[in-house]
Amino acid sequence: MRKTTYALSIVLASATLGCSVRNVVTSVPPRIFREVHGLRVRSYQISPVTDDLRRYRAIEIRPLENLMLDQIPESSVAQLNTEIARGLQALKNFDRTTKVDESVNLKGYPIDQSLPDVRADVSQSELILEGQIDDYTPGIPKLRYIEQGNNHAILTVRIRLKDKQSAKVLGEINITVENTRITSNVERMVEKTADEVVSFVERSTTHYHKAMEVTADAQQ
Amino acid sequence: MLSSEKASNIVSLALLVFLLVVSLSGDCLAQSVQHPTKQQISQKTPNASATMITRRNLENYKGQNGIVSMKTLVLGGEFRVTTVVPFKGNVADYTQLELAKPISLVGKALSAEVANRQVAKIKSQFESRKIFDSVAVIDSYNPPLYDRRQKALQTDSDGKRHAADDSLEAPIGNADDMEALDRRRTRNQQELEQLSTRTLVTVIEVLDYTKGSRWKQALPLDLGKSILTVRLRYYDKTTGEEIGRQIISGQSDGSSLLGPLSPRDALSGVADGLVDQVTRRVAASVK
Repeated sequence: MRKTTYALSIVLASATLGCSVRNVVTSVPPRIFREVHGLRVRSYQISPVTDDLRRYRAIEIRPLENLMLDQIPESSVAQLNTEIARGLQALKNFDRTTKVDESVNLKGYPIDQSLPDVRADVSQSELILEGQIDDYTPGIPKLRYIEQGNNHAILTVRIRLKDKQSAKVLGEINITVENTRITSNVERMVEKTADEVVSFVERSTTHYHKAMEVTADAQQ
Repeated sequence: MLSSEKASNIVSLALLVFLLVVSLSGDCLAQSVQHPTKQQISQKTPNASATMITRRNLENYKGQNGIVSMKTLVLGGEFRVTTVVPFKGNVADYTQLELAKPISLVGKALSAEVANRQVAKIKSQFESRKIFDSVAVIDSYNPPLYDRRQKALQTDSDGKRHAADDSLEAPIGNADDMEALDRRRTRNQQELEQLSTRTLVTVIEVLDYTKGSRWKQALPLDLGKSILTVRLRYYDKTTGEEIGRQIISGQSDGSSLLGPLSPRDALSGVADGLVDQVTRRVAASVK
C-alpha cells in the first residue's frame, strides 16, 4: 500500500514537473518576442493626404481633445501634448511652430500683433494639428507576468491636419499604440504615440504623392 | 311532395348558412381593417410579458469578468470595459433598444460587410437575452441638441402653472381655456405613454479593428491577434441626452486552451461585454 502511494506520488510529481517545464519552455519564445516587439503601433488612414503640404511653413498645435475624461491621468495628457509639440519643434519642415493653449511660440519668434497683413499672409500657409484621445488603459502588468487575460496598455489618438484659412481637412489618421511588454510602462507608450504623430506630420509635409497627381491628371 | 319540401328546406338552410358565413367573415375583415392596433397589441403583449419575466429573473445576475475567467481561459475572446461617462438614470425604464450601425474611425479597415456582421451579432445576443421588448438596427442616429438646464426650467414652470390651473380654487375659465386644458391633459397622457415605451439608442464607433490570423496565432511568436475596440454612446431617444459612454475592447490571441481553434474572436468579446454591461444595469434597477 505504502509502495503504491510512493509510486503514485512520484508519477504525479514528475507529471506536474513535466507540465511546468513544458509550459516554461513553450512560453519562452513568445515572451522574448513580446519584449522585443511588445510596443506595437497600428495606424489607419481615415482621410489620406492627397494635397502637396510642402508649402506649409508654419504649424499651429492644438491640445488633443480628451474623450476619455478622467480615465486618463492628466500627467499623461500633458506629457502627450508636450512631446508632440517638442517633436514638431525639432522638425526642419516648419519655420514657425505655435502651441495654442499656452500661446507660446516654441521657436521663439515673436507674434507681431501690429502687422495684421503680414500675419494674414502667414496664416495662408499655416497648418493646424488637432485631434482626440479616443482610448486609454494602463493595462494590468501583473497579468502580463502570467500571460493571461486582456492585460496590455493601450493609447489611441486621432490626428487631423487642417488648413488654417479654409479649415479644410488635409489628412486624418488613427494611431493606436499597444504595450504588452512586462518591462515597459505607460510613459514609454505615450512617448511612442507622440513619436508616431510627429512622424505622420513629417511624412505628410516632406513627401508629395506624385501618383495621386498623375491619377488626378489622367481623370481630367 | 315530401321530397320537394325537404329539398326546399335544405336550400333555404344552405342559404342561411351561406349568409351567416359571409356576414361573419365580413365582420372579421372589418375588425381587422378598423383595429390594426389590436392585432399589434396582441403581438406585443407576449413580448412585454416575456421581458418582464426575464427582468424579474435577473435578481441574481452576476456580471461577467471579461479580463480573466474560466470562459476566457478555455475559449479566449476576453474583453475589457472602461466606463467614461457613468450611466445616468434607470436603464430598466427603457423597453426598446436601437443599435446604430457601427461608425468606422479606422478608415477602410472596417468594411460595410464586417460592420453589418458586428451589429447583427450584437442584436442577436440582445434578442436571446430578452431584456428588451424589441431590438432594432438603425442606419444612424443624430441626437437632437439637448439642453438640460432649459429642460429643467421648462418642466418646473409648466408644473407650477398646471398645478395652479387644476386646483379646485381656480376660477372657471371660458371655452377656450377648457379646450386648452383638454389639449394639455391629452399631451400629458401621450407623454406618459411615451415613458412606458422609452427607447435606448446605442451608437457604436469602431476605434481599432484587426481581423487577425489563426495560423499566425498558432506560431509561438505572439502574432495574429484579433482585436476590436469600440466606443459606445448611449442616448435617450426622446430627449437626445447622452446617458452613458463606454469603451469595450475584445481580443483573441490564441493563448486559450483551445488555442487558434477556438470559435471565439474579438467580436465575441465585445458583444459579450456590451450585453453584460446593459444587463448589469437592468439587473441593478430590478433589485
